[in-house]
Formats: sequence, C-alpha cells, structure tokens
Amino acid sequence: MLKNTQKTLSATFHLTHNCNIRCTYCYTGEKFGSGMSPETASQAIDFCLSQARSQEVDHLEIVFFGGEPLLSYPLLCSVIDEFRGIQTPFEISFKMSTNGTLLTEEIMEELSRRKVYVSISMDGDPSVQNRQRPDVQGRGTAEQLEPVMDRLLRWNPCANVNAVVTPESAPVLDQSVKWLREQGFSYISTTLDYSANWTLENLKPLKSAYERLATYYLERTLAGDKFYISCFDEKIRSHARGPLDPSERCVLGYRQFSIAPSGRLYPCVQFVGEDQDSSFVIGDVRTGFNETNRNSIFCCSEQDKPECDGCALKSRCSSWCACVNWQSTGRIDQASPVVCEHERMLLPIVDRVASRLWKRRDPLFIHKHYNPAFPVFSFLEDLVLSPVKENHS
Amino acid sequence: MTRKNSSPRVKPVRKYNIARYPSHEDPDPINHPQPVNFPFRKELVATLATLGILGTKASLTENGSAKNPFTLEQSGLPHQPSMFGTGQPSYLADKKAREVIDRVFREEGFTLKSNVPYQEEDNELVLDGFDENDHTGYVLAHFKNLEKDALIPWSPVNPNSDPIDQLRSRLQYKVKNEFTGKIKEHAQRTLELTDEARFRKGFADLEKEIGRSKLSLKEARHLATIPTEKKEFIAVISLFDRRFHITRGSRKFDAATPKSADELKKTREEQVGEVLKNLEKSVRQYLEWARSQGL
Repeated sequence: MLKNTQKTLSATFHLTHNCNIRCTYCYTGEKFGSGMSPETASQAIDFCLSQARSQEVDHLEIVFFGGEPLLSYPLLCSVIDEFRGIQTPFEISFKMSTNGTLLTEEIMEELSRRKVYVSISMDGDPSVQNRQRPDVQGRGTAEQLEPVMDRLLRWNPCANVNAVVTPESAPVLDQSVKWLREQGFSYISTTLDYSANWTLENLKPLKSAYERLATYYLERTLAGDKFYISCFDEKIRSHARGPLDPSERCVLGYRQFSIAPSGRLYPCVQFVGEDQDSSFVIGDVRTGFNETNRNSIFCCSEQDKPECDGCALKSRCSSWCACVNWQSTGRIDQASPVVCEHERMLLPIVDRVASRLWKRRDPLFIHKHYNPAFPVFSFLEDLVLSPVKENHS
Repeated sequence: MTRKNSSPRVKPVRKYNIARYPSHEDPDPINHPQPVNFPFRKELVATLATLGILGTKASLTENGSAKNPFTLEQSGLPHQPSMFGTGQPSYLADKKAREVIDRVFREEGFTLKSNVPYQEEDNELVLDGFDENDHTGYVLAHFKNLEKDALIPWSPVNPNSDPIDQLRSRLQYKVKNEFTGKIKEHAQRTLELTDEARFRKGFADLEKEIGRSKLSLKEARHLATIPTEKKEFIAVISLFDRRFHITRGSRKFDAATPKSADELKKTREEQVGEVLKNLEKSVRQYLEWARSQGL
C-alpha cells in the first residue's frame, strides 16, 4: 500500500483569542481581544519559512485557527499575501477553520482567490447546532449558517465540516451526520469532546448511534454515494493501510506546531488556550524552539503506555494522540479511558460494515480505501466535472 | 461503587477477530483476485482514458463481464463411470477440494457453516458450506453424495432381476462408504422378517432416508435456477467437471515421462496442484459472478 511520503510541516496561526460564538465545550479558554500584532505575524512567517527550509520539507501547510480567524480577516489576508510573495523551494498551502458566521460572499470569493481551503465547524442539525454553538448572547447560530453552507459548497464542493460530539449530542450523532450530508457536505469529520464527562451510561447511546450510522454508511456506499465520514473511514484506513507512518503523524511539536497571538509556540492547538500556562510552551517565533521543552514533551508523549500492554487494538487506536490524552486525563503520557472505551466500541462496528462492503466487492469501497489515486480522481470528479464549476474562478 | 463502575477505563483487548477485509499486508484488492470496476462517473473515465492516464487498466472492466463457471453443462453430471479405469482421469479427493473451496469463501469474506440441511419444496439435500447471512454456499458433487439420477452405474441393473436385489445393488453402489454399516444393519433386520412387502418397504424407506441428503440431478437444476429468482447463490461444484480432472495424459506432463516412483509422485503432486488452482480460480469467478447478479 502506498504511503504519503511527502514531507510536510504544519504551522497553525492563532490570529486571535477572540470569538463571536460560545461553544459549550470550547477548550481555548476565555475570549479576549488580544490578537496577533502585524509585527508578530511577520516574525511568525519568517520563523515558519526558516523551519521549512531547515527541515527541507516538500510542503508547508499554514492553518488559521482561533478564536475565530475571520475576526482578524485583514491580518489573515496580509499573512497569506506575504507568504505568497516569497519564492520557496517547497509548496505552501493554506487552510482555515471557521465557525462560518462571518463568511460572506465577498470573503469567500477573496479566500477562494487566495486558494484557502475553508473548513467549517458545525455540530449537526439546527437543534444540536443551536444548543452547542450559541452566539455571545446565547442565541442559536443555525439560521445564520444556512446561506453560509450553500455559499461554501458552491465555492468548494469538497469543503470539510467538523462536528464535535458531546454526551448530549451523542444519541443523535447519526442524524447529525445524515443532516450534514443532506446539506451537501461530502467530507464530515466527527470528534468527541474528550474533556466531557463521559460515562459508560452516556456512551451507550453513542454506540446505538454508531450502529445506525453503520447502516447508513453501508446503504449509501452501496448506492454509490461518495463521502468521507472520519469516524468510519479513518478506522477502516487503520486496517486497510496499517498504522500511521511517522511521516503522517503530527510528531508533537516537530511536524506540527501552533503559534499563539503572542508569538509563543505550542505543540498543538489544544495547548494554546489563553496562552497563560507555560508548561507546554516549546518556544517563541522571535527566539526559536526551546529544544529542551520540545523534546521533553515529545518524548513524554511517545513513552510506552503500560496500561495498553498486550492490547490487540493498539496499532489501530488513537491513544497515541497526546492532545486527546491530555484533554481527557490531564496528562500526555497516559492513555485516555474514554478513548479506550470508544475505540473498543467503534472498531467492531466499523469492521462489520467494511467486511460487508468487501464481501460485496463494492467498487467504491475498494477504490476509496485501496486506490492511492482515489483522492485525485475524486477531486477531479467533484471539481472539474461538477456542474457548479462555473462558480470557480 | 456505582460511580466507579460507570467510569470508562483502559482495558486492553486480549483477543480481537481480525477484520474480514484486506489489510495493508494483503495483495492489492483492486486487481486481486479480480479487477474491480471503476466507481467514478463515465465522463471522468472517458476523460482520463482520453488523457491516457488509465490506459487499459483492468479496473475499467464492465459489470457484465463475469460468468458463472459452475453451470450444469460444465458439471459433467450425470456421471457414468467407465467400466475400466485405463486412460480415465482420476478425480480430486473431495476433502482436498473442500479445503480449497472453504478457504476461498473465507478469503472472500464469507462465513460458511458445514453440512447445512437445505429444503425447498421437494428438493432436499445437505450443503457442504452455507453462509446464512449472505445466502451463499456450495455443494460438492462427488462419488459419495450423488443420487441415482446423477450417478449412473456402469453396470445397469438388470430389470428382470429380483427387485430387492436391484434395490440393494443401487443402494450399495451409491452409498457404499458411509452408509454401508447402516445398510447391512437394516438389511439384517428386514431380512429376518417373513413379510416380503414389509421387507421391500424397509428398503424403500432406507433409500428415501439416504437419498434425502444426496444431490440429485433435479436438485442440481433447481440450485442453478434460484440465483436469479431468489438471490440465493449455491454453487454445484462437481469433481466430474473436466476442468478438475487429474489427467495423466496431458501434453504438459507427457513431455517428461516420470522415470521413478519419486518422479511420478512429484508429477502427480504438480497435477493435483494445477487442478486445485483451477478450482480456486473458478470459485473466485463464481463469487464475482454472484456479486454481479446482486449477491
């Protein structure tokens, strides 16, 4: 099976701590107006470029995160333009994760012109969205996002939607995914709120929702519907393509790092928070990496987890992710019980669906998971042959 | 205590059934065992083909290309053994054939149960393997499991002979192995009776009982028609099918006539290996055909 051998460095710019909505599970802490200054942004750009050059990467990926990055829209554009104005031996791409509320037609057009891949955060149908992602006044945001979804998908039919699953929304996860699919999203990422108070009781409805989602996944795949649902497709991938190669993982602080508005460096978006806790600071864009901190955090996260010894699912489990472990247990070197319980619940459901699709030799299933050229063909089909292509400049 | 029990905990899984779809260590599933259709729109296929990206890749095969390799015409049934063995092919051992067939079904993702009784109208037999979830399986036709209409004795029974002898002869012929003891025991019991009618009925009942689990030509025909009607796919795999004959006189093996016992043994093993490969290929082809028919 082909692995992605391209060497990538991913840098996440937290342009501001501020946000115009108040997600119930938000891990980024207090929302305050402290944004990244243009000077810090310039220094961050230089730092990223020098890191990419010294690591001799093939690809530098710049991600805009928050707070809500569109609250710092002028800075976002100037950062992209500054990157674009520099000749590099590697490719630079841009991604942005937004709550979508500020995504006007003009902004979408500008971002598209600058070739920014926009990913939107939405948790599901209006009832879930309004409950989990209200605005500052506590009002629902679903209605506001209705035209935004249409706009985003017109500009990019391959846009990704991120949905967070909480104990409250777990029983309707299948409905949320179906609803998002019905809105036209083909790439749906779901992730648990690992910091929530998950118990065996509230994981049971999640299991039932996964069972129902499995039926949906099977039926839609057999019907030739091309989509990506992360909780299923990533688990199938873990068997079909094997454990993630080091080149495909974030390698905490090495292949991926986050830049807080102050310019301080963190190993992942999860650790930035209010930029007050120095335990996970691994450097500063002005002074470079603090190798001692970076290395000790990385080594600590890579330690063998004795609690997982002898587990048959080890190679397919997400317990390697330090951020998830930290969110769930407060430690990066300890496997999360929630992750463990979740993986033990999800993997057999996913494997049953995949086995049935394999048994039927479903062409879509086989190409999606075993054909390394599938993403390219899929992209061509969605964008080049799509009837909405006239919307792309 | 309740609180503790309801908390998730890290619990290593000691045993996990390996997922029944190819892993990164298996052969490329796009072309193995059969090429898989291209799942994209025709416009994309046409564009890519025009650009020469796909060329003549096997993945562009059309849906309708798969054919059923286990038709009744191919099966060699009804089978009539020759009086003398000279020049006749020898037949694959049913145990070896079953091992290969079971393995292929397993590799293709099916879970077969052995010796599953099958009854549909007046068709009654025992299937060698059947996946109850997918209504797919097979029955192996060989010397021991064929009914009288599918296995014609080389020496026809004399119609003028005693009917009991005819019956005994037929029974002995087709069930000579696993039922021999049962027949002898039954015969012993019935022969002790003086009432000839009861004696005849005894044999008739025995024939019915034994025949129930056997494959008749009528049942083979029935199994061949159900895929299209009920989407139930039960392959009749016959060891009398010419493709599975272990033929001594094949050109390939004649070229170097074995000179010693060891050489003969080796040649024989090669021949069996080749036949088993043919069998494996045919079973895969059958499942591919079944899928194309809606399995």
